[in-house]
Amino acid sequence: MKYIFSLLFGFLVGALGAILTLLFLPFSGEPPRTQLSQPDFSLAVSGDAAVTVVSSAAGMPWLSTEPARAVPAAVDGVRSAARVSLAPLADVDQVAYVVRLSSMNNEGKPVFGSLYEQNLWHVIVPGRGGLIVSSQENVWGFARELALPLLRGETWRGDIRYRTTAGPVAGFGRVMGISGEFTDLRGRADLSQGLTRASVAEGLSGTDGVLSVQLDAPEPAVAQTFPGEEEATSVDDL
Amino acid sequence: MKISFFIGIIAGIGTALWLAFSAPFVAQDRVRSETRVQTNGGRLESFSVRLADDVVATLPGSLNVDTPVAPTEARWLAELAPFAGVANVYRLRNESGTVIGLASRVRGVATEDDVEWVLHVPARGTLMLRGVSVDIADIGDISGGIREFAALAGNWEAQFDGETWRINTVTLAGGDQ
Repeated sequence: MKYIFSLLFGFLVGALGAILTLLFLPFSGEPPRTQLSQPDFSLAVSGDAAVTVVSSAAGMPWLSTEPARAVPAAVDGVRSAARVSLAPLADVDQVAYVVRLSSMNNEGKPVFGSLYEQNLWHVIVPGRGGLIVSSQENVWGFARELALPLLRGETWRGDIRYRTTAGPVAGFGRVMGISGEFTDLRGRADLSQGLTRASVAEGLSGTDGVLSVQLDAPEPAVAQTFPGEEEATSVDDL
Repeated sequence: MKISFFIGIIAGIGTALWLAFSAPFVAQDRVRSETRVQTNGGRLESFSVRLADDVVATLPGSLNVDTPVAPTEARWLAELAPFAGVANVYRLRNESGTVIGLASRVRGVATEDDVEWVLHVPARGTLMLRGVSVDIADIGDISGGIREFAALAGNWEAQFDGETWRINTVTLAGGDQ
């Protein structure tokens, strides 16, 4: 009998040791902290109730946030979070509307230090146009900090802040210009997120972030020359 | 006893590593996609949105002041970021009516009739649609997609019959074009 207890005790010690090791020393670290060199604009994206119009996280309680205007009943059956908020542009006296659709995907592996949140940002800059940003965020850094306090039922307080974007384009999010002055433009984006408070009962609080967008220069139009025609090289040729 | 203890440790480490490698940390519910091959080529997939039931948010712009804000307790801040159109967030259903994700529809960002849809299906990916709004229908081209919808191109239409938005997408894989 004592051999069985010894075996079980050893099993628990081994499993716990492995879990703690993976939690704090995963085989791979956080995403590289390279940021966009020259963002065209940055948006302050916050979960603060003051700028949130609607927020819902049905099926994703670990992503719920504090605004009282959540409408969880309206999104029953969807394991995805939606938030509509105002996002001031940095250095410009302008405010954008941001529709953010988020869901966790199963491509992350905690053993490699990855836990992915898929984000779709529908960014509306009034008077300028619309953009869609898709990004994959590695939120493992948050999960690692919050796991033990939340499992113990405690309220976590602190200040975690890091660049979370891990893809889908070589560590950056993908930007697609949809309308207005952004029509057909492409580019990259990255997101830095912060968190200051979390509990099982209240969800995440004090969430904020900066979404930076860098647009590529439009590709120059290629002059077409048809058979029998020669391209004009000077005004005199015209 | 020492040997059984060490065997237990090794088994515990092995089990934890195996679970960390193979167990899905997040498992999104996946519903079979209802895609049909078209007679004339391409694949048709239909989605729907039932108004009232599926409205998560309706946010009218400055030229649509008669459109009610939803949810009604939402504090609408149009004066801070005025735009002319309407922004909506909906639950998204497949052709059979099963809820499979979320959709956002934004109309009138740059011009009165431009319209953008984003269809987000957590288990599969995201499809982005751009077009124009004509009376009770939106039509346009597929702008792009993510994950399972990546590299798809084609066109789409969304028709509204007073109760339901029915969104039909006809896609061609990148190599088929």
